[in-house]
Amino acid sequence: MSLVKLQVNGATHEVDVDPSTPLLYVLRNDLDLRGPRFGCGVGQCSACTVLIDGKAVRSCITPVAAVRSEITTLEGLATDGNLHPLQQAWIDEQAAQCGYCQNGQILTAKALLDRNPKPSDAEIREAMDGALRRCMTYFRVQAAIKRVVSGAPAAGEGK
Amino acid sequence: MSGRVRLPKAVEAAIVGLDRSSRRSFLKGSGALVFFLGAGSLPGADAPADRLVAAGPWPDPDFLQLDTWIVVHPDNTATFYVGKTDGGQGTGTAFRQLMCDELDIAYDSTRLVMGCTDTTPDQGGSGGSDAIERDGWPMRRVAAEARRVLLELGGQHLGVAVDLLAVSNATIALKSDPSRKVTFAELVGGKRFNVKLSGRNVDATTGQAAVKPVNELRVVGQPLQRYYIPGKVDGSQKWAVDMKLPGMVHAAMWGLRWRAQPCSASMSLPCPMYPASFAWSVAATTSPWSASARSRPSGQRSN
Repeated sequence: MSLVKLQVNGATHEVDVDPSTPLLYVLRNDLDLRGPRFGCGVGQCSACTVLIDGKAVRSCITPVAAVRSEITTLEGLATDGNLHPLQQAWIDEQAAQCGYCQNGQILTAKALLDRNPKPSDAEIREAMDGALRRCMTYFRVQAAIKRVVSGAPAAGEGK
Repeated sequence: MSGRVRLPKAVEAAIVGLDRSSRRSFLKGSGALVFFLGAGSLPGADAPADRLVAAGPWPDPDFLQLDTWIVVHPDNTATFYVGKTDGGQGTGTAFRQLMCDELDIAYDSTRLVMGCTDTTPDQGGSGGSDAIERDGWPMRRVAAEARRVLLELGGQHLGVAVDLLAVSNATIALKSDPSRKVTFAELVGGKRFNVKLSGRNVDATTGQAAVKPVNELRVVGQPLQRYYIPGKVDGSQKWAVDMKLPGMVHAAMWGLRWRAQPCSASMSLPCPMYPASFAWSVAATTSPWSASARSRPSGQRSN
């Protein structure tokens, strides 16, 4: 066990854990965050995704001691109580079905738009390729991302 | 060390009442969980009829009690309790729409509690294709019965025959003089209906009232957004995997054995793997990381 310092969603935390503990376990068990989730446990499904240095990182296979930069989880996307445009677009397009994987979907999309604010359909599909889901609402996910790209107003605005 | 816990009461209490207590606080044995469902025993106006009794710990799982399905609150909102769960298909939203139409209450004035063993009727397993076709019917009928009972109470309250009354948005008014009115809450807010239903099983549950014809449905058919999606996109939604039991440090699924299902000759898809046996227990351990590594199935595909 050793003390590990983490910057998560703008706050500093110090946890006493085995340095090899997956970051996901620390976020969920020690910091009580519910956005990142255990899915496959082997870095394939994306349910555990967090943002580190702007990249979508699989926290289930990231040792906590290896993290040096600020971590952003799904809970950290909203600012001043306002949802991030991607989160709002997810609601407007009703992109989720069961929603278990939405954490990975939304954060993977966030990483995409941060590096490429105007992705093509092909680029969206390529970037989202590793965020797996079974409910088949891929087209709604794509529509939600395109809604943000186009700057379309949230549903209910302008009426 | 590991030990079985009493399910499902403790589990559901943990899910519903989960707060941000740390797992260490559970270890200290101080993790008493608060159980809340929102119905509450709120103080309400005095009942206008003798059969309405003081607010108590309801609803209960008895599907033959109207109070099990519908609670009207003092603020003229209502909570519906149904024995189904929603896996994301939107059935919960649809159940609310069905019940709102029959009860004559605005969608936004209601909430829905689904699939809680201790507090909702047991309508069996939850599927997708049979949810509306089969499971929505008892919900519609009990909501229609609640409306009938409320109309009866409204008639007593206003001193007129029921057929002279109209219901709109949880308010009963005289058709000839809408200024003479009474709300659902004024009649039963915070009180029990205490009305017995009939039916040989939960699917057949019914009262005396008939459901509305389709052409009188107003909430059904509206393209409403599923009410639970916001909680799924900001991380606030509580899931089964967010459950923490008193004393629990770590939980994992144990004892999964997998086997291939036999495939019919007509199936072109790869044969799925299903659990041949499924044993589940909750482990409390002082070494969550090693425990989780030990319990993870390896070399198996999930389905």
